[in-house]
Amino acid sequence: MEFPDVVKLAVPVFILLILVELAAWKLTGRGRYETRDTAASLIMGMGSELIPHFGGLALLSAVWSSVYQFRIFDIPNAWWAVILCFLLDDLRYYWLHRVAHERRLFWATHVVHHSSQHYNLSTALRQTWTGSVLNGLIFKTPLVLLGFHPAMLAFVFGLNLIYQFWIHTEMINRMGPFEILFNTPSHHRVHHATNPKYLDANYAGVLIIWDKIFGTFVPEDDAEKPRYGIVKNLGTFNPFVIAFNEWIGIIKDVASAKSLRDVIGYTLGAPGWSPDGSRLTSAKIKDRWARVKALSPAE
Amino acid sequence: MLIELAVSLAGIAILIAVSWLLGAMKSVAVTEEAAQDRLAFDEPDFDVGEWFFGADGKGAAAVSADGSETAVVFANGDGLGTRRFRHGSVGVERHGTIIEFRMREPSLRAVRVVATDETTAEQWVLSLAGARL
Repeated sequence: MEFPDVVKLAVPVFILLILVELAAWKLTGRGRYETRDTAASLIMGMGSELIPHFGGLALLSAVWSSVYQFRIFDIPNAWWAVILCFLLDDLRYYWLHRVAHERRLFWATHVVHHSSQHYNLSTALRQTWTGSVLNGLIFKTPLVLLGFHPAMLAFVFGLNLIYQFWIHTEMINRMGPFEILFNTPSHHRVHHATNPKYLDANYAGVLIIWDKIFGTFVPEDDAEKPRYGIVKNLGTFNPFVIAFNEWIGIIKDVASAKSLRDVIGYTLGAPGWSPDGSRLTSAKIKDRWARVKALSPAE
Repeated sequence: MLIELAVSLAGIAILIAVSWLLGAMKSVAVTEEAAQDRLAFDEPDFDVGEWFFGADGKGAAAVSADGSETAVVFANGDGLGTRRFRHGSVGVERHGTIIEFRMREPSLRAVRVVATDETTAEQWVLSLAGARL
């Protein structure tokens, strides 16, 4: 069974759909676009595809080829295996994505994707320059060990990535029964929102059932419009700063750490962790929001 | 790979050009309403004592009611951002009518709030930087 490079094939479709969304934004006023934001997202996307070619892909390929020699099962390249691989990869994606939000070292790579205050198809392409190889080694290698051929894995990774492209839009509202099983624009708008009630929710790639199973599903509330970005929005569109901002923060924090506990907290703690608790993690932001809401007579 | 790179670059150039032609290059003004709304969203427990809105609409600052903290609001394209800090933890300088907060972040070197005249700027900088020091 031959597995095409579906991401490469999809690039012209991505470009075409962004043009369609731009036209729809202009004609209907729905959604939001800002030229410099779009440029930054597209440059980040190109960089994320380009950078692994400088050694990272070769490393991944070498590791996966070696690990495949020690596979637990001999899984054939059959259609049912592709479906199984897709489902397991989607579960793998859920956990990678969740860890990427809950542990700062992984957040440093993923924050790039959330750094835009916009939510449109170009935002989907705003991807990390620093995480794909490391994430691949840690989170995808177990599937190779299980017995899925690396080529099949690359194929389903591509399908998952392509699926996640179209859900980055404000043009599509709700999708009826489709939303029960699948990740949709509505579910993913919640994921990109910084409203306290929406923080750390809807990590799904394709199937939203993972969030429902693991207790992280939050539906979009029509009364609370999502506000996109990160809790400390950036003051720049410079792609290099977008790529490395959080890494610089980690390096500064680790350099100032007074103990091993602090080093661990600054790297593997929740984003916003600090030794004295003076910074805000998602949990603290939610607590603060609940306190303020309880005190507000208007609410 | 070079051909793919060229195609990607061409695609990016087209999308940027189209978005610019459609009027997507926007800079939002930090108006009173926008600044208050953004700060209330980002820092709902920040009890504002006094606001200082920049005359050029590019930045605003607020001192907390107890005078212990400052918040700044800045624009980045058509979006706004905020930072909150304890008095004295961020350098505040006046350059003529401009009050500059030295943030020292890679993504935000400084936030500038412009007063209408130097006398006003001097009063503001006393409130923003000097009152609790």
